[in-house]
Amino acid sequence: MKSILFYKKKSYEIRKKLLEKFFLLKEGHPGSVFSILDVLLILYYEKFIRISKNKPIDDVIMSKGHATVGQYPILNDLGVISKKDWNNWGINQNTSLKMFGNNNIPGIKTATGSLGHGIGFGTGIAYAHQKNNKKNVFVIISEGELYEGSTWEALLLLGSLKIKNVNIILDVNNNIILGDPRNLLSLGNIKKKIQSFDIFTDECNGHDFLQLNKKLLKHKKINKPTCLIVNTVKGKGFSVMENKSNWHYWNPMTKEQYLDAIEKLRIYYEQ
Amino acid sequence: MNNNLFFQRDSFIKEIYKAAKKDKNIHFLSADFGAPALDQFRENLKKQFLHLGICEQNMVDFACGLALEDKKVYIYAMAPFLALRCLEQHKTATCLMNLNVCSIVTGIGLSYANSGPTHYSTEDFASLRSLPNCSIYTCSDAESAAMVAKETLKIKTPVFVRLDRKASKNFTKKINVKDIKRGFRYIEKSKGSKNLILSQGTIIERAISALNYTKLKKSNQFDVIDLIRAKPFPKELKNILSKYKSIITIDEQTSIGSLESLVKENISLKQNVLPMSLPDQFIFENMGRDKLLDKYGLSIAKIKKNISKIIKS
Repeated sequence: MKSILFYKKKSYEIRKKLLEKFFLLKEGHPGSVFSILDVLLILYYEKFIRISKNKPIDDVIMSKGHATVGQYPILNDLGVISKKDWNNWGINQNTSLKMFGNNNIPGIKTATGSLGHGIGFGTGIAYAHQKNNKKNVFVIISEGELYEGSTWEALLLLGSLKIKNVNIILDVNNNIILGDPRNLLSLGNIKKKIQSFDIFTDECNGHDFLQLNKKLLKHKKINKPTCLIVNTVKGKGFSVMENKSNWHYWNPMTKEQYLDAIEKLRIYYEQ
Repeated sequence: MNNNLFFQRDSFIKEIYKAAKKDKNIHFLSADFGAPALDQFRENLKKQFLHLGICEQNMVDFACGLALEDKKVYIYAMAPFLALRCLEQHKTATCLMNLNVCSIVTGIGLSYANSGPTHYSTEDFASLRSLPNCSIYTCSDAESAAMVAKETLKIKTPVFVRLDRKASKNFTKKINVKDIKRGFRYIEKSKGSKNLILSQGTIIERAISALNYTKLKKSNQFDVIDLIRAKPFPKELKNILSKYKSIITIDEQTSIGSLESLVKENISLKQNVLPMSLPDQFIFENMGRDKLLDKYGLSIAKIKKNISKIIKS
């Protein structure tokens, strides 16, 4: 595994790049992007997602499609998304990048943004490779997607087919648009519910690089579909947005506030 | 099938079965919906068939996952559920990603008469044709279903095939490859005819009956066209439509967005269109499909009346 220092540095750099884009575009879903970002760093830089000739071999299905943006700077760093695409985004129209992902964007497998599709997509993709076992599929869903009936339909099928190369990562940041789901419509014991579909289910801190790597390595060896519940902080890294539901969407920010957020981020990751 | 009656679904699935025996990339998914021809598929091609549970939404997403890995996928369920229950999946997944998934939408119109409005599929055409990237085929007999099935094997983008539930006779006028390619066929054609009946699906039988009863066939005043592919709308048909003075559209769908709308999108405003479809309402009576069609605006008598109106005008 790469060093913690490497990940702290990447965490800072990628967050900074993304905040620059959000500030430029004056829109986006920073809370959700920053809650799942550390998971994405481990998936890509620890090569759970293998990349060959600038194309991913394995797939990340960002079912919580509003967080696809978190993949862009990483895919740019790894040579999948071009400099032109990344640099032009937010500056002019000469880019394939969008606020929600679609399959015309390099390295982005599916169109998402409408919740509750990812596990079905991922199961279909993995089923096509079940025999040769040559592709790993990571489906990233949010707790908000557990309200979609199609998610449960998909879990039923996935557990029944016992496809081992599907790995669900469930981002639990305890925030949906109108607040904490536990106070709105409680999802109950999520782990127990997912386990009941015969899906190996485990959980960890979604910002602890060591834990994430360890759990994902462990899941690789499990002979059935897996689900890793990652407990995260919405807006992680930016005190102005951490654990705040209203930062699901971008909020107006002055240049001073923006620079202050970047500076605080630097200090946070230097610790 | 007795009395020369044939089910469209069996004709369609038989063709897919024949192809799937040779091509292991073809997968067939069902949301707990069967057919005798499907039993053969399930039995002999176990690795290419999956029962997806009564989960139309996930069936579409799963099919799209397979299609993303270059599989050809057929998904099969009852029309109201495969068209509307998962319409958003068709939009976001099948059509937006432009994938090689063919949805076999079975039991269109009032096919499931006596089951009530939950089982009628009288708005699927309007809903599906609003989705970009897809092709829409409607079959009027078992022969056309077989031919459309062969055509779908060549298409690599989203297709919706609309099938009737009932068994029916094949039309005397045989369908051919050219008809499938161009997306429509003449059921009746006379030199110099200035009027047209345009229809899709088995309801076209009523148009033929109406013409036969009125003996107008001999007077060469009406052509009858079976619209096989509504989307993309056949280019050749657009030109042909412009030559008719009056057009009667007959569609077993509610009026909004039906064949009437499609035709009006493709002709000049000067042309006279007499639309015939079901009313914009839910139908609850139990009286069988024929009587429901009679009561709700698609009786042979009403078609005859409209034919006469045009002749006299």
